[in-house]
Amino acid sequence: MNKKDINLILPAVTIVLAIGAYFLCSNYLMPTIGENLAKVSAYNQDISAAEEKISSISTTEKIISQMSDTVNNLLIAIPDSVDAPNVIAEVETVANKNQVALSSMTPPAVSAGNASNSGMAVNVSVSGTYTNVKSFINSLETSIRFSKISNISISSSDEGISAAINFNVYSRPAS
Amino acid sequence: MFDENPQTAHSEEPFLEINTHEDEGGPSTLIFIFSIIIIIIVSGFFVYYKYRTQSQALDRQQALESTLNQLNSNNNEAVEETARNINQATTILSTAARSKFLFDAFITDLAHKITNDSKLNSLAISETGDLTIDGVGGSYRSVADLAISLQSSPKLDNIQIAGLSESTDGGTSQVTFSMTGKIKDWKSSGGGE
Repeated sequence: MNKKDINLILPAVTIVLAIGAYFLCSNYLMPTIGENLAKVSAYNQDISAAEEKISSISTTEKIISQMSDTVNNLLIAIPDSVDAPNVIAEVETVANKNQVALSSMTPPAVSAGNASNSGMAVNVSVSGTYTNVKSFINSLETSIRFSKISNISISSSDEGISAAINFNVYSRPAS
Repeated sequence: MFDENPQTAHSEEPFLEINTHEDEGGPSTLIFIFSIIIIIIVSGFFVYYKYRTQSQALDRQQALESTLNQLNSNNNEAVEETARNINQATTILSTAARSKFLFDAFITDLAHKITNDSKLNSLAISETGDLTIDGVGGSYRSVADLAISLQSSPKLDNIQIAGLSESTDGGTSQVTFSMTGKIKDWKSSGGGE
């Protein structure tokens, strides 16, 4: 190969290499690099979000453990479901504790999916002395299971006081 | 003499040409070789960077999977479930408690407003906070006093005497009355509001 040939081949090789390198970079390497960088960025964002959530969960766990009594009471006040037998048993316990006679009771109509935010109605009729009936009302209002009296009717007779009380009990929506 | 000079000059000309070409070809060859090296280095850098970013992406993907495994652990799911339950219970409580009326405290207050010669036979409070009282008083005056006493209560409003009738029981005169009123701080107890 003489010098004239070299003078012809070198520019040709340079041009071919330059064109090849250009197409390799622009059509394959740079798009792939771009995709990889985008992936790295997206993964980093997801990792940050996940780590933030883990940190938040960790903080929540600490708070829940510090307030475990309050949390337990809260979850008892608004249980995950209301079942009629439990409500009947609880009302009877409150009636016995306050020494009033439980004349009648309409337990909550529990349906699938349980209560809405407006609660489930319970109707009870009790009779006893004025003090005991009033104490029964107080116990219902301050019971650990949250209940809200919606209306009340009290009448007195020679035998004592009788009261018809309508109240609502609540449960958390099914998740 | 004249003939020899042109021959001598002709034989020396190629030598001069070759020298001229060598001087011009050297730098251009170097430039091309240098360009080829640059092209290879640049291309090589892109290839290296491509594999480097690919490796980084793989590392990040594995790190994300590890973090997600940690996030979705049973303990974390239990904490999330508890937090969800607390939120639901708090929402229901805050809504329902806002419209909760304390009947026991109200009855206690009402009892303090009953005048000595009056007696309540029945008391009803509706879902809308309407109060209905039926009872017996010693006289019309005592019923009027009871109405004034109830009206003075900060918890009651619009006390109205709905009916009055006098009767005699065993020689003793008594007035049967019926009153209505409205509880002032009654909040709408629809529950869902």
